[in-house]
Amino acid sequence: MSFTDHEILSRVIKPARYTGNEWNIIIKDHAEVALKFVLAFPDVYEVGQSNLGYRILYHILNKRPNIAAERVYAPWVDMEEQLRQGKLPLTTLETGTPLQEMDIVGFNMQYEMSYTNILNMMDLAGIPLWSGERGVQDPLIIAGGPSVYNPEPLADFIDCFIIGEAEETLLDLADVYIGWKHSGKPGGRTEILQRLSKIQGIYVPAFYDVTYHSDGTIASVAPNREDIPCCIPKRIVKDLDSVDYPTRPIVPYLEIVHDRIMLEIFRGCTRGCRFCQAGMTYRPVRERSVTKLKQLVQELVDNTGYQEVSLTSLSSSDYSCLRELVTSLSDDFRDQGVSFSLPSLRIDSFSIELAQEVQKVRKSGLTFAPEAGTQRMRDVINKGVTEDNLVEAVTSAFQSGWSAVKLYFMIGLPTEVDDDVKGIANLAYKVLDIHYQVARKRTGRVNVSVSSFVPKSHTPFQWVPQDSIAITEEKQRLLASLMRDRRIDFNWHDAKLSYMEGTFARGDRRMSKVLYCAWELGCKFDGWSEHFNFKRWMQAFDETGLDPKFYNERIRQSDEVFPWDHIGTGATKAFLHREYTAALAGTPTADCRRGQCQACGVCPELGAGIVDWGNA
Amino acid sequence: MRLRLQFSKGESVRYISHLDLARVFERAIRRAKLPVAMSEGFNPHMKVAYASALSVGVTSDCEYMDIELREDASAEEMAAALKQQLPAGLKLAEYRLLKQVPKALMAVVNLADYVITVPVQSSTDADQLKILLEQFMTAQSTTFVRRSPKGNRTIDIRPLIDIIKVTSCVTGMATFFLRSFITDKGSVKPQEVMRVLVEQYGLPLLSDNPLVHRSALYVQREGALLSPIDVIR
Repeated sequence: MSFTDHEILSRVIKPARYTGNEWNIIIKDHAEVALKFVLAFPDVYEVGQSNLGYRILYHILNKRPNIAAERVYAPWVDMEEQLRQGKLPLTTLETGTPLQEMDIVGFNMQYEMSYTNILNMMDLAGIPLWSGERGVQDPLIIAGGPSVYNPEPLADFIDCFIIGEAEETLLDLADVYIGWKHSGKPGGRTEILQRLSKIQGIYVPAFYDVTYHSDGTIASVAPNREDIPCCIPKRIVKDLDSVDYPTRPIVPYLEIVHDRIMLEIFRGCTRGCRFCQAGMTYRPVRERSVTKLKQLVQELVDNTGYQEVSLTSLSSSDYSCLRELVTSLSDDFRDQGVSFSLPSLRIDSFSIELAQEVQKVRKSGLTFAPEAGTQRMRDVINKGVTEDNLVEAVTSAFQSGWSAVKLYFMIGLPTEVDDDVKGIANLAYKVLDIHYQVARKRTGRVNVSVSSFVPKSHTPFQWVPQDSIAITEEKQRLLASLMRDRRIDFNWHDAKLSYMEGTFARGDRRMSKVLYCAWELGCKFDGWSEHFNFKRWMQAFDETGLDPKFYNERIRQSDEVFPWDHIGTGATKAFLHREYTAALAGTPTADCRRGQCQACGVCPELGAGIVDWGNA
Repeated sequence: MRLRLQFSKGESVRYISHLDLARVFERAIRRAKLPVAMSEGFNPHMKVAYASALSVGVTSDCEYMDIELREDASAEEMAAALKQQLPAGLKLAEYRLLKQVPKALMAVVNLADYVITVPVQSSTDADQLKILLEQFMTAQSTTFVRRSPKGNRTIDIRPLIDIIKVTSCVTGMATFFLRSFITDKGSVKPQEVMRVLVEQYGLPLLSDNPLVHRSALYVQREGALLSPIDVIR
């Protein structure tokens, strides 16, 4: 290490973000691999290193002896300043290699408001941002992750997107790339993209042309060359027990956001909440078996030294054999001092019982997500939870010794009226009353977290307008005025940030100009309130002549062609529209997992099925 | 029974904090399955203790820790198991089982040696630096204000320093040797010493971020310098 490096690292906060060498890091000799891959995460180390998908892909790629998969995170602004001042390129943590010298850079699309960081990282690496300006000497830029189901705002920057779960697709991509590289990269970038487009689950945006109507809506999205599919269905792992799971995850030096073992107990959720993009895009439900999970926990504990295991999924209390799993894990691991947590509980007393089982000692917070304040509103969003469920759950929690609960809500849901907003405050007071009835003292606490609904692609609410900033802020003021009790801690999201998120969530290719312009104006780390600068974003819209209202505040026609229609989640547009109609009528739709099939289309389209060990 | 360890913190873990380091050892001890004693209570923690915290950015040859054991075990076997679980950059050197409860490491260690490397003008020579260091050593006192979130404190660093000298000064890089006292009332960081020397004695250093390496920690007893491992021999 040079003295210059030391000086740079001495000037930034948390220098260990940039120095790697953690336990279980995998460092390979570049002379001995066929492919140098970078997993790039557009946020700081502590956020990126916590991401389970990112951990899985690091493991899957590095398991191949001929692939070196290395990591890079968005440098915090202090480090960026040092890099730019010293004219130093962004490098990988494993080998300190500049990104420009790697073969493939894969970005994680975690969240719409991290897109500026993707551009900024490419710029710091000296890689041309627009895919059309990159040559054969530049790395291939790919992207995937939860927000890939509307990839269009990034379409002009990314060479290809991984649609769906990447465990298998990424290895196929690696093989094709290695073949092309070994034969001397014939045909340049067009040729590799052509070859990659043959892989199921890979979307090459440059091979599609978008045409528009005079009102700005899309007329068509069509392939612009032969042999390119008109729709790209997502790819999934059909059997989670058979796919590799990282049992030697990196154990960071720094304390990260999720500083524990994350055990993914199942994937997918079929509850069918109509606002929830993950609920639609991760279908079908596929569980890991109890046997497999127990084996994974032992390996993970042995290989990491962590003592806390989070049993993660979209809705952990829906794991069919949860009681068996929790009881046997608690029994097996008590002597080793290992504890378990269930991060996403349903609102019922069964969940409280389980929470008690896993949290025998520490009565830390309990979190519930009623999502909406009135039954009418919950019926609209198909959140199959009643006020009675909540009353039962919090009563049981307070009786078991908890004194604080956290409640998650959304405002701005379709058809919402003032009474629905007020309903949130009413529920908060109700929870406090229940605490008083149980505990007979006024020591109860309720944390009310209210986010602003952002309509997302591939959901039944992809047609609905998003509340304007003014309306959202009005609703937030109303709630604040109703919840002045000091036992209520009320948190809300920045309306402006949610509004920007909305423009990208349902944005089209033209949004890439806004993104580029905003980045040029200095936007980055937009998800961090201290860096989000709404004025610059509005300036970017102004300068590119686009109107955020077009993306957010318009009711879309039922037959409108969407920018993401050619990206397939398996759930058909007809199913989503049926759900939209049912929402407006306040009609619930049952979970298909054990009940009637709701014909969303996922299982036949993907040739997959529900994996439910409790029903086996 | 306690296991006293000496380990080094090398280049690849230079920038981790003392808290990070403590977490590394906790996890390594767990992976190595050492029979470590745990505290009672709702939130049990390992009974381990360190001699002295090391700042972010500082390497060392001579860190010490005590691990309290809940049962007897072979020191050799424990050390071998732990060695396999330490990340690159942390190396176990010496170790010794303590049958009796020793005084806390933190309470007995009272002297620290540092090697400090920092760029200077290529025209600067060792004699120039020596003169300035002598001025500092002969002065009655040299105070500076240590700023912290808890408030500002004026500290006289002279009584905290036993030796400071130039050990080399070639091709624009100067190396210093510092021996400082660790007292009940506190100690001084090498970075603070260098800053004071620059600000108050005009030491011509080109960087305010010297490379600091701790080369020894001692128990000074009746004039003799003992390592914390030797103390219990």
